[in-house]
Amino acid sequence: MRLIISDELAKDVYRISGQNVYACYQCGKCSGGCPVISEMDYLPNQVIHMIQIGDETALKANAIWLCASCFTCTIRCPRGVDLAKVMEALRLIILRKGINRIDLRKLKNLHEYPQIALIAASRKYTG
Amino acid sequence: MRNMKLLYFPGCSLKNFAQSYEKSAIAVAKELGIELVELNRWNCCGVVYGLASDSFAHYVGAFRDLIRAQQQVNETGNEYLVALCSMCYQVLSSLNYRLSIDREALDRLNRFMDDEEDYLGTIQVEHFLKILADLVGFDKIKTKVKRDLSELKIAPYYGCMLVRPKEIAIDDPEDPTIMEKLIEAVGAEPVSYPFRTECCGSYNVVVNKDVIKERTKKILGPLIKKNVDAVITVCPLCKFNLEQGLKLARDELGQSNIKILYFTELLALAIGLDDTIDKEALESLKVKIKEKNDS
Repeated sequence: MRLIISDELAKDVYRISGQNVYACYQCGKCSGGCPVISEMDYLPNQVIHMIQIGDETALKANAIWLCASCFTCTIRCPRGVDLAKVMEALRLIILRKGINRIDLRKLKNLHEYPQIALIAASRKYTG
Repeated sequence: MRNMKLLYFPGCSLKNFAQSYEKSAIAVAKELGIELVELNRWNCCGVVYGLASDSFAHYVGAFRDLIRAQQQVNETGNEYLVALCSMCYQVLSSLNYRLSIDREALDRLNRFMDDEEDYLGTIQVEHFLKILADLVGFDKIKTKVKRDLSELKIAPYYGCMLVRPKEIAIDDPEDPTIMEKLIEAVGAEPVSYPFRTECCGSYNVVVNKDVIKERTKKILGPLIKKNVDAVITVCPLCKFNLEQGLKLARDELGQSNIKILYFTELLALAIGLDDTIDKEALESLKVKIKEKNDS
């Protein structure tokens, strides 16, 4: 696949989140502190890099759905990039197209989960 | 501090699976001279704070709660709205913070809610833990302790929502101490460990239990090795996930009797408000505590 460097994805992210991913100089501190990287296919700093060069693989990374907005990266970023907001923007780019991450009707054993988990999941995984 | 009333936002969990959190908090508050007055006609806060700057739909629920609070402050004589659930705290305080610096957001939401009175931005959202530290004071809490808890090793688990992001944090986001001070105030031993401010996995529990299992192993692993008696938490979802994770990782973590408690239950235990505490946790911890002689 040929990759054409583009700032379209970065502009979309900026429009939704107000975050400028070009401020990131790839120090990796976000990935160093992220509590769920063991489950991620691409690390948070790699996702940011993809946005910087316009690589839409960022939208396919499971990292954006594993991120639960714990804000550890947000408070540590030396360049002031609010990564939690960037991740939310990537999720919203997908969800706003009407593509949901989960089908709420197919969730099993709903009674096992507290409302707090179900509502949070429905807000983060569906549009 | 004289007796005072504080407006209180329960949220869904405290009326359902986290009832011991509410019961113990209300009872402890009463002992400390605070009446928690439940907010009239409260609705779901939204659980997760909307992080998009170009959308306001996610804020409507929490915004209505702030209006409800504004309508009821005459009952308490102050502007506080106190939350216990840390997710409720984060949503309400994050929105309140944004409205304080983003006039356009405030105007837009007020216009949208045209059947309600305008929100003026004057409500002060606070967490009960912060109220205990700042308004009550740990010294006063010490005077209410009726039991000797010195045999109890307690680990504070902050999770995310009370300490991050910075704008709404009730303590230092990297190195909070407020719960350690609380544990010391009731005479128990606070245990230090590395992962007290790390995420429990949150709503990932609905779609990916492995996340919860791995998180729990990391967070509770060192505590089980140290024979910690209980972890105190501020968040119903953290408690749910850690308890789920303990079951899922039973083989890896080994046999453990560690209990996950709300911080208010620890206070209730120290003060002697036993009927407000989860029964199983109470039975487990009671064998290690002694009544104090008031002589």
